[in-house]
Amino acid sequence: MSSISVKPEQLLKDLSGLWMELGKAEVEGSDRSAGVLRAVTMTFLLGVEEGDDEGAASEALAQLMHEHPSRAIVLKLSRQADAEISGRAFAQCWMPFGRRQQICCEQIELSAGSENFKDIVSLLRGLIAPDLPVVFWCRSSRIFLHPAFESIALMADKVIVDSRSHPDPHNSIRFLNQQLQRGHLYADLTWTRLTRWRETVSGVFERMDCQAFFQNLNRAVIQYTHTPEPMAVSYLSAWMKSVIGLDFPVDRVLAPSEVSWQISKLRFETALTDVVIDRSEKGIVETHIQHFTARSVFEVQDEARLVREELSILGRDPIFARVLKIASQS
Amino acid sequence: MKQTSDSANPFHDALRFERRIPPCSVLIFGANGDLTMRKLLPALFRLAYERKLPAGFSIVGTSRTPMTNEQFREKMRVSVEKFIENSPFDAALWEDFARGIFYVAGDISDPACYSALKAQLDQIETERGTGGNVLFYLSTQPSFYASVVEQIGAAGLANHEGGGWRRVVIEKPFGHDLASAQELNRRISKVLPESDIYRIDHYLGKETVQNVLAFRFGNTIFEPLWNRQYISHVQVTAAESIGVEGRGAYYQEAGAMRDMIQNHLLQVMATVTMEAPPYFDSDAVRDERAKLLRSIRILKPEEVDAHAVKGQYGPARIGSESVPGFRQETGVSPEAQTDTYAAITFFIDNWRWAGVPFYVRTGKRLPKRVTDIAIRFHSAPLSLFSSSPGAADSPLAAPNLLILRIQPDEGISLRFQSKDPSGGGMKLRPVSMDFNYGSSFGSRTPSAYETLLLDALAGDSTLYTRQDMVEASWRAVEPILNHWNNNKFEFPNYDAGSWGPKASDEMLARRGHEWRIP
Repeated sequence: MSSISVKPEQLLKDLSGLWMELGKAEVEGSDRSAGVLRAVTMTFLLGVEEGDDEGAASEALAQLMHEHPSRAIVLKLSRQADAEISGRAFAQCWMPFGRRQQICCEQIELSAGSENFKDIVSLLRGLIAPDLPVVFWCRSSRIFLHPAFESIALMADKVIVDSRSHPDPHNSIRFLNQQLQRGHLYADLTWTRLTRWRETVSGVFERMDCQAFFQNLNRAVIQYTHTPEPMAVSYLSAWMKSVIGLDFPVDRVLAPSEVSWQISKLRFETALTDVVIDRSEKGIVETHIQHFTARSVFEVQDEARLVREELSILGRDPIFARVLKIASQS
Repeated sequence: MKQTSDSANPFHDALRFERRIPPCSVLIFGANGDLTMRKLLPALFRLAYERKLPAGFSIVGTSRTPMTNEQFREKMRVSVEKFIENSPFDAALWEDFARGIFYVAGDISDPACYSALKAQLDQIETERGTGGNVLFYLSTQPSFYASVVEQIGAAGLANHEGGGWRRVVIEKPFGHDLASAQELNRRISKVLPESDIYRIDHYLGKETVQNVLAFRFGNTIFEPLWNRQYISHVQVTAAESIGVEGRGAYYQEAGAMRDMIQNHLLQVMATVTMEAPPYFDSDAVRDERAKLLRSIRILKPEEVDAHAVKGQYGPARIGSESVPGFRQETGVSPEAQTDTYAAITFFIDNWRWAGVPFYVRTGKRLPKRVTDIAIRFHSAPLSLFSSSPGAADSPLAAPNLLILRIQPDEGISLRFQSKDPSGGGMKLRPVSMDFNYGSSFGSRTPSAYETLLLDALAGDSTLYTRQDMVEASWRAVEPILNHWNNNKFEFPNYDAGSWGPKASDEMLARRGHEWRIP
């Protein structure tokens, strides 16, 4: 690992040097060594800000590298506004259990204060791995609001944000909707977190005895736990309307709780009976259909899992586009 | 409420949700056996953990052993906890999963057993909303397959008045020769149509076998080379380091050819060599596999000795351990003529593969556990670098080799020549370019049983074998088995821990080839 002057050629040369060193160390290190596997399937841009839980971001990045070996370029917005651009290149390696070959991914870190952050854009153009997709996970709301954001986003095939961490999530999703209308691919992890809920609702519909139930729905209720009302509630409501009809009444009810999750219950009502999906425990939801109860697993959705789900969708997501349009208008 | 035209479920999100499985039950015959405990229940529980099974999903087990529902559930819990692979055991989820497990004790040759099963299935349908959909899983002795299906039919279990589907999964072996396979099919197909019969070959459920299709038909660079013009020969190896592990009595009757080649390895070979289907659909893929299997040259009795090698391991020391020979294994006759090793040279008589030998070998007590397919390309036509160590005529010559590794270390390697930068001059050295399945896709790989059970529940039979495929593969191996049965062999002919009989090396040497060491 070395700190170097910030020129793309120099960073790339430094990466090549690292690979040679790694290969050499492997060969010298063991008679049984099978070498180093250099793996790159995309360029992965990660936007973070200094001091904002960088450890969690690095951990998520490391997890993602195992499944999506990438050239990772971390774009760090420094606390100090006038901080100059600095850069370094290094490799992240791991030895899969029971194997003899070390797998390494290359990582570049570029940091600058807000005054110089826009200059990072021109550096990026020379650092992106050729012929492979570019994904930009903008984890920092300050970068999202920075003038350089749109230029970086334009280099990416897909941009991932998390509106729930933004100061004005509704404004953010209006922006996302505009971008989708223009044909750019955007994802919002706040929507991704709802996949398990939506899948459970879909599973209820699969039951033969519930299809008639859904034809006779009067209203749905979304119960949430925190104020202000989370963006997830708007998304879920918009999703139900997109499926059942724009006029379908979806009530939102606050049931304050100290739990870490934002939505605690969904209720679908007809004149005769209800279907309730209840998150009473962290990892489990229960679906109550008359006298029948079924459990399913809601595993902890850490950031790496959410981003992984988005990385599996590199084309248009028409359902998200529909929901985003409704949610951004409400 | 709006309904979309392409989906009966308007809430479904095909991009993000798991594949839709309709509410259903699985009825397992032979539920007290090893397969149920080691493979089926752990696979089903794992599917539940990943939310791939529908709400109300139920399991009915049946066997002779008297047990209550609670006792059966407890037994299954113990085995799931023990055998679930790469997964946590979630006690809260098990509690819910176990509520859908039921047990009916009975004799599968007694019609009363089927009446009891029908009553149990009816109750489940009412209470758990399974819509009358049932997958019957035959995990019994093969000799019971036909009679169990006939009893299912006689008890009215093969059809459902409300329109629910009924399917049957049958474990291998599908007969012990062509005639018995045809007879088994004749009896089963009187009860259920071919589309509802799922003959399981767990090799086809392996992710890496499926990846062969993705590799061949999802890329353009290899397919133009995938023929006799560029490929010298193909080696398929399925080696096991263990012996018969207490299955001596069974194995003595089956042997390596029936146990591995007739089903698994011929299916793998067909996957590697079949033509591209017009679309990725169950019947289209199986049509191409079947067509390929029908193209395998049938050996005449006088050709068998030159094209097939039968082997049986003898005692040896492996490391510091003394290992018994096959005839010394428990339950095995000291005169047994069983093949614990088989190596066959197959030819595929079609335009693509005419003249290309396919060497297929399998055996027990070989040096390591490995399954792979090695495709050896022709050598470069001209020795441009004839003075170099890697030249075509040098001992280091290394023609291009593409290796599809099925297990372990699933992946693909391509060996090619590269200039050795050390020293001066044009020296070539073989190097390997590796794709490692586990490294590039770090997510957990589903077990073959998870994949295949889910497919059967979804009504997708792409990875299941069809009767015409079963018959074609029996036709390919039957002349060899007949010849072997009619001759007495001097056994043992290879030491435990070696790569098989010398005759196997000689079989390849006659064509100027040699087995690679996987």
